[in-house]
Amino acid sequence: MQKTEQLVESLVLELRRGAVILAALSRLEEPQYGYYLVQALQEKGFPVEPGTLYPLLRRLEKQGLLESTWDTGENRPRKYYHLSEEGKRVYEALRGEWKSLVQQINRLVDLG
Amino acid sequence: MELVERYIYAVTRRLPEKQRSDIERELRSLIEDMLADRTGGDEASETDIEEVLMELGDPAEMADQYRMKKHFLIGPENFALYMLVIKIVLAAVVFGITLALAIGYVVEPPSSIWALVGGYLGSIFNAVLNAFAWVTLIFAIFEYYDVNMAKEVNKKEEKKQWNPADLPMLPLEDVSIKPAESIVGLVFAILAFILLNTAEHLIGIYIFSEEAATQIIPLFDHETFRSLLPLLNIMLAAGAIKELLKLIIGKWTIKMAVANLVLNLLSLVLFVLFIFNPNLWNAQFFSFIIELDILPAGTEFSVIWTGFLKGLTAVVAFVLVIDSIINLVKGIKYRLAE
Repeated sequence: MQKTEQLVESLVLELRRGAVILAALSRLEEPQYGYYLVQALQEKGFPVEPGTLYPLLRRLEKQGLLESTWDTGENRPRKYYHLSEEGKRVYEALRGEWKSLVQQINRLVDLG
Repeated sequence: MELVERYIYAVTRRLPEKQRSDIERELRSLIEDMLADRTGGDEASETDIEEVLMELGDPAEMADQYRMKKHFLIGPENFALYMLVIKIVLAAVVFGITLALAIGYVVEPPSSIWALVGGYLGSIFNAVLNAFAWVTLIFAIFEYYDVNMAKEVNKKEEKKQWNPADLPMLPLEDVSIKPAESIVGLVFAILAFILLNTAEHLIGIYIFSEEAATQIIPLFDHETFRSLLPLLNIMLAAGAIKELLKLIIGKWTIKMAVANLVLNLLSLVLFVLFIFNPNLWNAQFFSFIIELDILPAGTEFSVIWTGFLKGLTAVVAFVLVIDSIINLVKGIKYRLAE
């Protein structure tokens, strides 16, 4: 039983890996800092751990989908991320892909 | 707050230098946000800090996420190539040491067989360890600088799109080399090596008599034979290398066939240099044959002997040339089939 749970857990992680990217991109039309994003996703019912999200944001920045600025004006410095022009285009394309993927898989697993 | 600094350090020390300061700042601001969220702006207690850090999880895993890939001495991209190189290098080292010690044994026989075996095992152990360490070190350096060696090697091929026609042919039956053949060849080469290097005087005519001990008239002149021994040993080594190549490559590719041709030519040249040395043959042996009086009257033994050597050379040359040609044809066939 233990083994089944572990297996399910690791497979769920794999399923979520790509979805997390889409989730992060969806909240970055306006500049946001990492922890705000953690909370925003949590509120929407899609919790992502900071240990996953922070490295992901850096990676997306490196890929050119995000741009970042340090805001040192507030009581503590925060790094704000927002979609680049390229990021906006990629996000739009991914939205469409996600929609059709969900439909396809739902048909297969008899949920839709 | 010391725990927080320790946590940040535990993450960043695992990261590349140039990313550290930025990630450090970002992590600090994240932890402060999380603490503020928890306490509502009040001073965070030690328990709060511990709980937040627990939530963030193992710093090693966090660092892995930042690094995008795990740290390997030799990563998955390079591992297959690494194994291949290790196998070839170790096989070559073992072969080389064995050959070197065999030659050393002849030049200066050790005091006892145990000294020989001990020395052999010791040398093998040292050399294998050395080779292993160097190959691993080189691969580890490439891994550190993130070089995908297999990709580098295949760079040219990578550019054009892969297509099913690029798949290699299954080895054709008559193009693949039977390992047994090579192993027999290797064993024969080693036996010949031992015989020629240690017991050449036993090759000759044996005279059995009931009264006296068995007498041997050696075929070769000892001094000349010893001076020509390196030629024979190079010839045997060429043969052994050929068999080893066959074992490793396993089929008659063009490269294999060309190597075969070169080694065959080398063997032939050495063979000719060897047997046509006029001082090679034992004078006693010649006079013994003449005394037997089995030759037709009026024939000169040295003429017959020279004729015999020429005939022998012709046969050897014929065999080697045929072998080279057949294998070249196989190699070309394989290339065309590909």
